[in-house]
Amino acid sequence: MLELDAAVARGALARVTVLREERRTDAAQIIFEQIDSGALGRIPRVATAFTAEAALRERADCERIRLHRRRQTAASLAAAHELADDILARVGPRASSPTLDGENRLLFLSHFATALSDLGDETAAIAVTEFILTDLGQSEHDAFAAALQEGSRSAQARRRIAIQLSNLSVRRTRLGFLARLAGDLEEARRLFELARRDAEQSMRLREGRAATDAYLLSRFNMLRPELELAVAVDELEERDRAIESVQRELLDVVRSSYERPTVSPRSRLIRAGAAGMALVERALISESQGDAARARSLASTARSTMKATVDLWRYDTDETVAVTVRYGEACRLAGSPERAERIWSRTRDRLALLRGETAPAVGWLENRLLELRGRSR
Amino acid sequence: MQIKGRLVHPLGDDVLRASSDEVLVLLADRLVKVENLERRLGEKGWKDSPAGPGLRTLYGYADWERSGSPRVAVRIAVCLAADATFAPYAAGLLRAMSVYEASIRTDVLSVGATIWAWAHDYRALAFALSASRRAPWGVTVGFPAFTRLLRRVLGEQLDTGLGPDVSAEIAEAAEGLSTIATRGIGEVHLIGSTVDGSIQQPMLASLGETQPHWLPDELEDDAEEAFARGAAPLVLEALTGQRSSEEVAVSLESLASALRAAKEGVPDA
Repeated sequence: MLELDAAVARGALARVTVLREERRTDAAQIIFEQIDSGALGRIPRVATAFTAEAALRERADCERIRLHRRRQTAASLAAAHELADDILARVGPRASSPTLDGENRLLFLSHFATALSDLGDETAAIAVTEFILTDLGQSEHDAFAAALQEGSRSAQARRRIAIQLSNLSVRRTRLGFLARLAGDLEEARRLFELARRDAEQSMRLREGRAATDAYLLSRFNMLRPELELAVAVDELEERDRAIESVQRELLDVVRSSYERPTVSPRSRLIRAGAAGMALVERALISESQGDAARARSLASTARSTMKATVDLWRYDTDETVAVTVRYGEACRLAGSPERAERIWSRTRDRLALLRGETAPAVGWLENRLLELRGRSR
Repeated sequence: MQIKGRLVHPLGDDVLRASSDEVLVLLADRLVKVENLERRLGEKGWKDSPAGPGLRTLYGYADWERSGSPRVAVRIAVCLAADATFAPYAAGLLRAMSVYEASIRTDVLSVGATIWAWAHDYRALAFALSASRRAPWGVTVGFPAFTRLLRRVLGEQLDTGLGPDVSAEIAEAAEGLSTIATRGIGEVHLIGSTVDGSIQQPMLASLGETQPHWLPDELEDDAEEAFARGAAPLVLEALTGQRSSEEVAVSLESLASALRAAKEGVPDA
């Protein structure tokens, strides 16, 4: 049971989380600072393990990381990483004496994995998620999902595991694209195949609820690595066919998303953007084959499909590199190289801040910008 | 409730100054009074009471269990414990809300998040509370502390004293949202349950149906949300070929200009 002042802090922290999730970072920060200073309740600095105070302390530190991340400065990101390391040491999979246990630990780690992913530390986020899944009893064997389908008592476990698998798929897809930019195609393929497997398992766990938003999301998450694997096909004609096949399925997901009133406009834009990525890749194939007209036509449609999402990310730093890189290609092919330069410069700067100036993906973007400027001259 | 002559505000202001012992004394006192009432009325008395088998107390329904004895005392104990433990969470939320004001939507989400935070910290109590507020015929009644918090939050947004009297609408909405929250916390112990799925989205959906004119301010307030809502159908038209990409691009650029203006002139991408 929390002491009264800690409970007051917990109530106020709920407000901070809502404001942050609504992108009102400054407001969230002001309230958090009041909580942190003791003016609005009290967050325990030291807490006995397995108590409600320990859970509050970890939750507050996790919120602190999210707020640091939104400030997007080198100093704030460094502070966020340091905090993340501290939390990993206290509660993470390798903690020798974790401060939380059982359900409290799993629930917290689920939130913490999202914060790690937000911070660009997908590898740590994946490790934490895998730990959660192992603890939940998830198995990599194909029979696992089928076995879990039986019995109403497993419905709760199915849902939770499906969510974690979905998260894992997104994180691996993100990491896989960065590996491709870094030139490590073998690692990229490995990650995309794992991402597809995770998303497939998530879908199977939700099969009984095929008419739900959750199932649609799992299906979309599966198509993302499918697209990346299709892009990796060597032969151009075969690649085009593979991408077209994924594009058709993505379009089906997009149509279903628009038909469901519970799917938010942002989610619809993100899914439409993925279909746009498929168009860009086919436009690049056309360019390689010397068909400039087809390339331009595909790129124009792709650009219109992806522009809205990219415009939103101007103010929201949670952009997906795979989208902005392809959006730049769409602008270039559609006859707007200056827009391509602007979006790639922005992505490069954000990546450098998040992953360091020497990150391979940063180098790839710098080379691409040089090529673009050389071509423009 | 009264502690040492002070009126204890249900939203926790005075509870914060009372000690845990004082609250427990009050709880014990209430339990004794209820047990005495049960003993006086007896089994026949409960059944023959004017309200019949559906006797509803402030703290839940006097359901007639199969064993033959009502569990009112248990329900009251659960509700009093919930009252006492929830109060500081609510107080924290209200203080945080006074630091920065936001839209009704944000406030309703915040109330949902606070209720869930409390329910998560007191999972067994939250489950018991949700069960105690469920009538034998399946209807859930909102927990009074949640209802009062929601009335206060909605009142601060809507009951400015300058326009028409909306107190009845506020009361009705608060009761409806409280019912959703009281039902939702019954899921907090379930693996995979989320505040969004169990409480926040159902609350917003309910408000969207019963009082839709209370929510559009979020669109005026949130330029990005307005942009996303406007852009989404245009993007589908481009993707499906219903309109040419050039036409869509012009419409999207118009929306993007409005977004930039709202965000005070950030350069175009």
